[in-house]
Amino acid sequence: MLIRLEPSAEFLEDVVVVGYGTTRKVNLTGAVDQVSSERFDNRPVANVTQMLQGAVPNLNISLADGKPNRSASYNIRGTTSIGAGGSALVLIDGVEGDPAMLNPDDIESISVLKDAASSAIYGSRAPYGVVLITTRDPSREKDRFTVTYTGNVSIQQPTAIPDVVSDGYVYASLFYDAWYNYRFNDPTTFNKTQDFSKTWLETFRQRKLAGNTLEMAVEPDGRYVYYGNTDYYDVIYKNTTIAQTHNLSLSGTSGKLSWFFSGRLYDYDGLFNFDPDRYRTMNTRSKVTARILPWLQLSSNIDFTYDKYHQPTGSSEEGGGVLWRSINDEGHPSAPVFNPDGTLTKSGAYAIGGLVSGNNWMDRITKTFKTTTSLKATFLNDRLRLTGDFTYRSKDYTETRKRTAIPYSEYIDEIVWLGTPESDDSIKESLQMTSYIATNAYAEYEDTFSTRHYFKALLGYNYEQQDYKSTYSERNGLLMPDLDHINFALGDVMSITSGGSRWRYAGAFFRLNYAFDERYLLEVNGRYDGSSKFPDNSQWGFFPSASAAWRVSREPFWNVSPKAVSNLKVRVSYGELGNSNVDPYSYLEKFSFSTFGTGSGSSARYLDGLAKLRYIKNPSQIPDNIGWEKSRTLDVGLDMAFLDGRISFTGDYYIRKTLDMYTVGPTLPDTFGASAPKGNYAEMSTYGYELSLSYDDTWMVGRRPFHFGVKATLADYYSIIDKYNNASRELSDYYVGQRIGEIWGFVCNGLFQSQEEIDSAFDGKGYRNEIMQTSEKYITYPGDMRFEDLNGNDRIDRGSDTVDDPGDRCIIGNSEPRYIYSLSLNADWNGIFLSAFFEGVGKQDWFPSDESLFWGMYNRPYNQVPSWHLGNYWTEDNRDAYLPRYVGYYGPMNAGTANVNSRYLQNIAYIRLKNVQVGYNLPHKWLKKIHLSNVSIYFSGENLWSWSPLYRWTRDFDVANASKSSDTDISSSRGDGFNYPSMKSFSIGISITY
Amino acid sequence: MDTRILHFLIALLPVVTVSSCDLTERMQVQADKATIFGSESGLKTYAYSFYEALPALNNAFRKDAMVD
Repeated sequence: MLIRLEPSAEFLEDVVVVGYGTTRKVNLTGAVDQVSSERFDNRPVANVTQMLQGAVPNLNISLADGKPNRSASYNIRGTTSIGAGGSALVLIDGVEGDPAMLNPDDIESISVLKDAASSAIYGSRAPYGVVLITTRDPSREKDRFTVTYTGNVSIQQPTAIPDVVSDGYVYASLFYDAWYNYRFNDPTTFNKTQDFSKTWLETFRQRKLAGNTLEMAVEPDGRYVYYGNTDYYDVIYKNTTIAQTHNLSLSGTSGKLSWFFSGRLYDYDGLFNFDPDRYRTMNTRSKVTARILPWLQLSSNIDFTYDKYHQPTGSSEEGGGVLWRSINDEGHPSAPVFNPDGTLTKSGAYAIGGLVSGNNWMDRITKTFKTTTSLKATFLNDRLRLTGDFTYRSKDYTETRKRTAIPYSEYIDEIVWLGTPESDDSIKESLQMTSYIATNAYAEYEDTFSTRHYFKALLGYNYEQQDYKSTYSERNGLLMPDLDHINFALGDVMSITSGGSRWRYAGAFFRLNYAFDERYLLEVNGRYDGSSKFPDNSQWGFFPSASAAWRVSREPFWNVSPKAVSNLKVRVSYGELGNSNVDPYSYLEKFSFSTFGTGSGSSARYLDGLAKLRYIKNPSQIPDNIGWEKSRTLDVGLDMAFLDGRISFTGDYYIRKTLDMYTVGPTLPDTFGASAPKGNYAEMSTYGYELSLSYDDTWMVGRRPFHFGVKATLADYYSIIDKYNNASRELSDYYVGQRIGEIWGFVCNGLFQSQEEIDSAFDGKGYRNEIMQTSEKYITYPGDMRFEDLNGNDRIDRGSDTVDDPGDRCIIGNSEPRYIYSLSLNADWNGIFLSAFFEGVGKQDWFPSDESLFWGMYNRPYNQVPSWHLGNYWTEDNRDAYLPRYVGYYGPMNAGTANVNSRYLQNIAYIRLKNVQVGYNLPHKWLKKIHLSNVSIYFSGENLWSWSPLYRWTRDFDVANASKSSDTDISSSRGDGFNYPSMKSFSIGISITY
Repeated sequence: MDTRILHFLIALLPVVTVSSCDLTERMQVQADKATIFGSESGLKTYAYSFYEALPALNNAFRKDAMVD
């Protein structure tokens, strides 16, 4: 018979990691959330950042796309600063580190310090919260030796692949319609790569009717004519790809020594059929603690990570190397990818030639090494603890990018090139080296007087320094496209530049805790902080904070049975922190280097007979009295537990004021001769809350314990600008009263159904819209969008582009996510375990950028056509359609953000089944015979299901990717959603512990 | 005071003394006034930026709207 402890009172003893120490959860006075390693177990995901997404309320992780190596900066509690910016400080074992370079299996717990009071001990390093990642501590396991292997193999595929029209004839005739309805003449080409004529279209139709599926014909002069039916996404993506993780760890203690070693390999086969994007990351860690004297402990913690991602790129001639944009602009379904002799077609070369050539790519290798040595001494029966540590961390990053000309054929047996071979074949190498040292020394004393007065004091010192150096070299004239080193590039266009910076921090900090009878809890923090990032006269600042809590349930008058309400605690905290999360030298007068361009561009200059000359520009004005940006947070919290702790609730409400943000100064008279200098001018308030409710219980089912747990969280925030220098309240900039993320747009309530309706609009004066090109000559036709004349001046206009005169625009939505929620469920019985984790966003708006695939041919008539457009656009027989009449270059969709409107504003709220697991722990009686202590096998699925109101129209994108900018590693301005797809994975794994 | 504490603090001393309190750092790859006005080539490089004010190849043929 297996006897298990009831989890009832367990929550009281939970220990939470806080800045420079730990505390019991009941004694917390600030807003701190902690997740244990369970969140990371059995997840077939490449890194910690991806696993943490959605795991902690108001720890907001926005991944730019679904790349296997994708990580992101961590945000806590919403918009931080519109001046210097800033994200959360991430500390791994007390020292700043990159969570993407961390083995997820090494993690024991992750603490998130959300309010000013709990982050204040890190002073100006953490104005916007702290994420504390703690790795496994071997010294807690007593005289044991364990070997654990965990491994899984997963099959992955994109969560969404655009469903586009691949029937070449349908595509070509739609192209003709979209073109004609805008210009009222006949096109001669599909953008740059395929010819068009009405005769060709008619031939295509005849061939299709006759069932002729040959994709090409050859003209007498040897020129290929294409009648293709190509789905480019089908060509580039594998149906499935495979990823695998293997992790081995050894840990144990023997006498005065304890150790933990781990090694991990994650390998991803790549999604592309050509030149696949292989990703591989390897981690090792060794952690040894030696108790050299009864009171003195020495530990060492060393980790190394190697991380390599190979990414093929699109052609730089179309889409700036962003593959998905290249496909949208030149991947015409009516053209095949390959000619019969195996050469690329012109469309094929422009769209996916970069991949097919195998010689257009970017390789990124990151190596990180980190070693921490620490000394810990305990005195006076463990009442006084002294700790000192020293860390060295280095990061080497190398990036190699190769671009070569792409061969293709337009005529039989004739190769032409996209780009010029050799002179356009170039290699760019970037080397970036970072070395970092950090040291901490702190003393902690705790004692209890007269049994009821608990007192704890912490006093410490911290110093950090980082040196960064980089060189960038680029040269053309690669001897052969297959060569990978710049040594083979011998052309005359070259550039060598470098970067470098150094910053230092020093700080002294203290924390005082006092608790009376575990009833009244008080904490005071402070840090005197210096940063080299600020000018001499404002390098130092003092940042105090205080927090208090009242455990009402400990009061003598509290007569409620703990069976009903077992804990009731009220918390309040307030503090001020400086923001030094800025780039070094931000506040110095900089004369920076630039390079003149070549060719005929506006930056091209040839001086002294030389091209690509370097020159130094005059700096922008810097005011004398620059100070720190500050953030002040007030947090009110409530912790409750019911039914012997089986139900627990935590809620926090906060107001964060960001003050003295480094933004543009008041407008100066033109005689000043330069733009107004920046300074500490702006203020912003952020209001938000986090709620979390959980239920945990165990009961007997068939004489075995059945454990069940559920946890739901909800978080929300919004920010308002309180002060900003924009006297005329121009919409192109921030203004006082603005809510961050708000979307200004025109209101459209329908489509014009007839010419009479157009003529009689605006109270019979006739519809007038001279700002949106719904046809080349600005003429409105039936089937066009009807905009509302909000300001009643009988025409659609933008007014003077200010808040007070916005023309016919109003606030139609907000791009910030609201009501971010999660739901996790887990259950286990008789060795079988089951868990599911859902996360989502309750409200968020998105107006697709002009180049987004969402618009199809409405943007450019030669773009790919999403299949959902078919039968969904206005014709006289389809008057209730969602989309307007079929027109290319359609103003309200093609003009960037200028014509944002309510009709096509998308709701990208969503719910996602982030992870689901089913597994089985093999019974111990079986394992005993083979000397194993635990074996479990499991199925784990990631991103298996999601739903969003956006899917009513299209499932071409995963909702998380749709609104994100194009591939941020290549070029981020090429259109929303043109990025690496999010992946779903089905994985099978095993975990064996000896 | 326990002498062990003293010994420990002495051991920690190097940790504290590796750092100093003057946190001024100079720019490494951007120039300041001294770089530009302190040498002939610095000034020359700076003077190159004035050429930005002149028209480029792609607009030199255009007429200035302010001139008759």
